[in-house]
Amino acid sequence: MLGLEPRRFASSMIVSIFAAVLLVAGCEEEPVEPDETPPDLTGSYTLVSFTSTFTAGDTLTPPAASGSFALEQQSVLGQEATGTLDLMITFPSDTGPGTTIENGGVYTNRFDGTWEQEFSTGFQALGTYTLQGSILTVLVTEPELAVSTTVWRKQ
Amino acid sequence: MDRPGRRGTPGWIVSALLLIPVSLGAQEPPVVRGVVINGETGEPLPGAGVLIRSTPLRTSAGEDGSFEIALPGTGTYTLVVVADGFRTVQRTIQPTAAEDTPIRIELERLLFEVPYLTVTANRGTRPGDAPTSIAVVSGDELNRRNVTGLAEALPFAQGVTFNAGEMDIRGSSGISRGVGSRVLMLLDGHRTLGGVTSAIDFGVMPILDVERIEIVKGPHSTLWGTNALGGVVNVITRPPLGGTRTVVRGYYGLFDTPGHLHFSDERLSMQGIQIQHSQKIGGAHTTTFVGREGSDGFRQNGEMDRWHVRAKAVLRAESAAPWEFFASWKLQDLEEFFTWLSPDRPLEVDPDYLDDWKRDSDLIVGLTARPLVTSRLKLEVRPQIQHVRSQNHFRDSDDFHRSTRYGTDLQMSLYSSSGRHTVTVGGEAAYTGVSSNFLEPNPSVTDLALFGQNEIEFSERLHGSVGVRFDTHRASFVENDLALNPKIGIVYRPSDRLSLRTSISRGYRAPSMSEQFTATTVFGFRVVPNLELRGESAWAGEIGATATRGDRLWFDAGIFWSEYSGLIEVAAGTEEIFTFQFRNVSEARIRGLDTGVRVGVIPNKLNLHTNYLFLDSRNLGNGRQLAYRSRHNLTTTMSAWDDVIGLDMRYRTRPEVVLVYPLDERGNVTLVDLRLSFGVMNVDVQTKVANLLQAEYVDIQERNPGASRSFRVTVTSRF
Repeated sequence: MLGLEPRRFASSMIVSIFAAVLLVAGCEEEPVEPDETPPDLTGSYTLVSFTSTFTAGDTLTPPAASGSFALEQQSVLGQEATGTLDLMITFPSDTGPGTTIENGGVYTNRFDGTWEQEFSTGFQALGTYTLQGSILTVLVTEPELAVSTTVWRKQ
Repeated sequence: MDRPGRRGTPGWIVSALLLIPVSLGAQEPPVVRGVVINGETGEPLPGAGVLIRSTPLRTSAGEDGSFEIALPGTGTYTLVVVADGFRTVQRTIQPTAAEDTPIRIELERLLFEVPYLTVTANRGTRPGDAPTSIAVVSGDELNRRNVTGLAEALPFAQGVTFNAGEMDIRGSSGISRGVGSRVLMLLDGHRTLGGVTSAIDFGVMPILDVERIEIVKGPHSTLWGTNALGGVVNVITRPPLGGTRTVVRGYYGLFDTPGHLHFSDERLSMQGIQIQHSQKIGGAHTTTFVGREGSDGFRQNGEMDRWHVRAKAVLRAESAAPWEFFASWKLQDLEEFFTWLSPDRPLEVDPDYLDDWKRDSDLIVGLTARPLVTSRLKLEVRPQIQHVRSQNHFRDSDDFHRSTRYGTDLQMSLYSSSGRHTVTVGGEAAYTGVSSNFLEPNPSVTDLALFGQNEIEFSERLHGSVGVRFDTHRASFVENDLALNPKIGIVYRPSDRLSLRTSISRGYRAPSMSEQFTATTVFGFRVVPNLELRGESAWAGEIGATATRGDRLWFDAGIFWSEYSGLIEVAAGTEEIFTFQFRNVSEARIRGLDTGVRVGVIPNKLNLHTNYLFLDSRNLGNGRQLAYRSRHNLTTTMSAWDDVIGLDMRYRTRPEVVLVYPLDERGNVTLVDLRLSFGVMNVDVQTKVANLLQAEYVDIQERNPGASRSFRVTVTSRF
């Protein structure tokens, strides 16, 4: 266990007991609780790239695809945060009006990097997310029909 | 063992052909006559199968238990007599003349019905073990279970599960949403899958006229062609018994909706009346059936109204070469329950979809002709016409399709003079034409096939089978699909109480027209055709054993594995974004254990029948389990006092993967049914409480609620 391992190598029982007492006392005064709250993703994002089974695995970047993603965290409970989302992605077409996905819903992001979202239309997705600087990457792994990787940049 | 005609004939095929005129031209052939008796009661056993081993000669005992079979000549033969629920009898006979004294065969009743004479695994009548797993559901079991349709009884067959009403054998199917069954459904050897959807229609299957249902597990495209990927189910109707018989059966039931899920003030009920009449008219044994069933359903928009009319005529029924003609017609109106309104109101639908319904009709006309049957050769022809119509009356869809399939199947079996080989060769040809507003373009399909098989009896205890089939599936506008499906299997019986089997075979399923050509919009999503779609296939192997101990224990277990390639599934379209189409997307592996145990706990007082199916399925593309499969599947039936009381239990674990709503809660499912039956004045009265414990569950497919508790009384009169 963290903090107890050095005691094995202490040359003096007294020292080790002292050290242990200090450690316990220290814990009581300042509990060691690593920050395991998930990151607050609240913000507005613009689409960087979109890769999906629906694009036959091709990665689309603007202007082939453009969009916005708005997240607003509502609550945090332990390692889990929930909030609302609004998504819009447009795929222009040379021959027609193109395709636009526009929907609102709720999301959950956890400290362990898992991601869940459910649109008001009932569509659900499970996967993972990473936030590196201003870049949010959402990897949807379920349902298998809608596997996708979407990269967003925070405005 | 003595075998007929062990006279050292060289070239048995030639001799078999030479025997035809001899057999046909014999003036006074010896005839074996006899009567089959229930050894316990002394009563005749009508319908018992009587056959001459290593020949195609067979007949059924008549109403008085009598039978006769004309033999090709004097000699030594093995007479085999089989009946469901009785121990099979084999007797060596040496008939000398037509006046021989009739043989009296007394059959001893068994505690369990153990399959012995099955026809589906080998397309023949060769008795004994087949080198593959076969589950059998007898007509008597259907009756005892008090079922209104086959789909209610088949979940209790070994190796079978049902997912949202769709039949699955050993995890091959998951949910196909009504297009492209991986289980081939036959009626007396005739295909019954829909022409456009290739889906099973249980509504067209008989219920009162079933002799037994054979479920051959694993790919059996070698003999039966496309769709036989997970297995083949052959519903075999009763042989004619002679005399005049009428069966009238009626049932009435009520659904018991849990209080907090009530959605209607009306009492939800189900009812049905079925009449079957059998009579000999001229030289034909006829059976006519008329049935009308209706149900409010246990959920909103669940109404069903169905007519079913069926006729069967058997000519030359007493001979070894009967000709059977049948026609079956079904008309069904069914409301559509696509998905629930919300988890709190799972028995209701979105008001926008209220009153969506569809009308289906299905007409199948078929003939099984045996123009030539001798002691060495059997020729069988099965022409068939099937016409299917379906019309949606949905708020946002008036999709329809009409299809007509003309097909025939021809097979010739040659029995060697040594009795060691039975060679079956044949072919199949079918043409299907369709008309539809959602198939683009409207295709036609031609299926052609050639097959051959040799069943080999190496010794009394060692049998084998080897075969191959070549299929071509020619749909218009797309490239031909070709499939070569071999199989090999061996059965070894080290003792009378133990049988060991192993087999390897390949299965194939051609894409259904729905999968290949559908162009429609479903709930806002566009489905586009895929003219590149090809058939899917599987290699499968099995090692299994069947053992008995006395009369009180029967045990069967099989370890199986299947390697699927090119599995057809719904996937994102490749040409346009945000479209769906059917594609060959998956390589998959399914391994498992399939066991069944029957125990006479207290003989004639308490019997136990338990099946357990373990599935380890894997999508080799992403390493995850296949969707809609439960790892553990258990069924148990306890019956007491000759089925006066019966208790049925089904349990399956939560499917780990689903395709649409992965966040929805899902769990294990346990269902218990209770049955009681008694007789009053020659009338059978049966009661059934289905879902006795009022389990609220999702029937495997997300947002598809399982049936609430229901009470049903069935009254059957036979005269």
